[in-house]
Amino acid sequence: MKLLQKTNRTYLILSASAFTIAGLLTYIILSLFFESQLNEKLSDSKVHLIKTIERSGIIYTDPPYIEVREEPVVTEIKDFYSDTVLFDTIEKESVPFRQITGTALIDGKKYKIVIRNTLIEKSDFLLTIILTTGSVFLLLLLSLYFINKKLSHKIWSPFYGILDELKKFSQENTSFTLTISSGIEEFEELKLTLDKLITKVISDYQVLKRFTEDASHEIQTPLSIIQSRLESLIQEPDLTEMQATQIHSAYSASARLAKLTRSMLFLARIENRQYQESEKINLGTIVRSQTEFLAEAIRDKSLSVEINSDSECILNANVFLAESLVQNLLGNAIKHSFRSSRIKIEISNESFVISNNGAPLLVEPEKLFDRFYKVNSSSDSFGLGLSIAREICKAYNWNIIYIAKETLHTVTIKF
Amino acid sequence: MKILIIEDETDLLEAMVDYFASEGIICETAPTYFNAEDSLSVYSYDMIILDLTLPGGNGLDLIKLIKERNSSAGLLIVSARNSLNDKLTGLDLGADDYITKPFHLAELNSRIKSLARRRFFEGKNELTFNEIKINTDSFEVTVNGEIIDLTRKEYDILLYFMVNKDRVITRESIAEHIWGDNSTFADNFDFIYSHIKNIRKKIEQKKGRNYLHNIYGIGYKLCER
Repeated sequence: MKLLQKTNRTYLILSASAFTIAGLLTYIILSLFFESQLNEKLSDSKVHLIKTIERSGIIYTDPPYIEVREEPVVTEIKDFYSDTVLFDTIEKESVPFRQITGTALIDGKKYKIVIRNTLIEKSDFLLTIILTTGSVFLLLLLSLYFINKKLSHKIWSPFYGILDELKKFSQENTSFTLTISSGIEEFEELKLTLDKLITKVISDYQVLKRFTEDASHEIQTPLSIIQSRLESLIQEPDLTEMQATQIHSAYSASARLAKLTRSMLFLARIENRQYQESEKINLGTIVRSQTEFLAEAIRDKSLSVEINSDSECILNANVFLAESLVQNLLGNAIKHSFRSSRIKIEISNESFVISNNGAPLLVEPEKLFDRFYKVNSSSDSFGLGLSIAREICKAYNWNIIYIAKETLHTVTIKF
Repeated sequence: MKILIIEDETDLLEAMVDYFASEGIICETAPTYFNAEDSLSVYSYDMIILDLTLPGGNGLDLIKLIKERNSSAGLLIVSARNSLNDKLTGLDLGADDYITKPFHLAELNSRIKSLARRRFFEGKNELTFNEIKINTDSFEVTVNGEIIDLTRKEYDILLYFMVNKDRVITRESIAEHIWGDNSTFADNFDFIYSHIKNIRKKIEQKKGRNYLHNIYGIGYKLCER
């Protein structure tokens, strides 16, 4: 719900109840007021009538408005007011009346006097009040609505300005600040708070990004020392086989660690957009050279690689990244293919598709892109290959999708 | 060949010096920026190995100095920073090659030797081990004077052994040498085994001897035995 809708709805509910109460009050007060006025009038009329009869001696009646009857047996009663309904022979309908009933002693004779006056019909009265309050209510509402609409547009414009700027926010943009200035205290405060938050987010993100890179860097030098010392140790001519095997297992582990830090560094550097240099590259050429580079691995599993390209695919990218991407995906396909199966690569100017036949995938394909995710936990790889592939695609806004249908695995990159 | 190693990690420095010493090459060392400046202003070298992260100054600035004072020296940059910009700047400034930490000493040796061949033996680059000869200009390998046909990777591996002869070369080191740092297959040693087998076979076909010895399954050594 929009803020304007929300306020309008609140206004509507509040004013509707206020107007209903006001209408009811008006009705009650006016009814009471009319009644007392009418009572006064009737009482005046009675006094006047008695005086007229005393003066003239004529019993004056005018039914249904004035009724005077001589009733010798009647006991003196106090004037009382009541409502009644009589049938009006002229209008041919029931008409409500207010009447005063009382007795009078004129010239020693007892009379019962009833004086009546027509009443406004209650329903008519109510309807009038409803119509009046209703139209005032509507008028108020309409004006409120338009005023709100116009005002809110104006009042909230800095807010929407801030919102528009915020939508363009990205952690990568380190110089991001809000530029909208409204002069309105609330919005200035909002802007100030947001600016603080943005600075914090950006700096935290930078720290986090740098961390992997720095940590990997720091590991490199001690690793070099371990590796070169072990390498020297291996050269000792009098090593027994057991010593050699032990040294080698330490050496292998350090080599593995070196590879891991290298992969992590590579990932961090792609993330930190350190591969700025780009040039026009022909994807087909890269695919063919990488197929050549991996020829032994392909031959070793008796695989056949089929490359189809309808059109040349020229991309603007970093050569090293493009090569890594292709080598990564092709290497993956080779590793996970059945023996003697076929790897198909299709290149067009808007996409790169590589498919191979291998064991069915037992997990969500999306998971494979997670860092350090391994389908087979005993595998020697680090589970960073597809993360690297995705990070490279991200750097160029390419879309990478992995689809596994039974034994057919397909990776598609849309440029 | 006279080598200057500019490296602040004394352990690593020592390992490098030892390695080259066993090759019969005497190295001079400079553990800080200022030591390096001193050495460069007094002596001249054939090869300089430079670590970019040095206490007391930026290694990149040293490249300029090296180019001024010792322009004929081959320059290999070593960096833990592994940053592409450093690599490009370094190569732009006139460095001949770039290697990132951690590296295999055999790889470092191979790079230095390759640099030396390019620099000092123009037009006549031959490595010999008994009956095996490699000409690095024409990429020709001969055994007892007869040319043998090696694939690109087999050639690379044999050359790697020839440069690092009489040393145990680990499978890891060979794998990285031929597949590169980031390759998916750098941890697959089956290929190396079959490459070595092929090289042996091709050498033996030309009546050459088998000099590639398996050392306890950790790697291989090119030596007479």
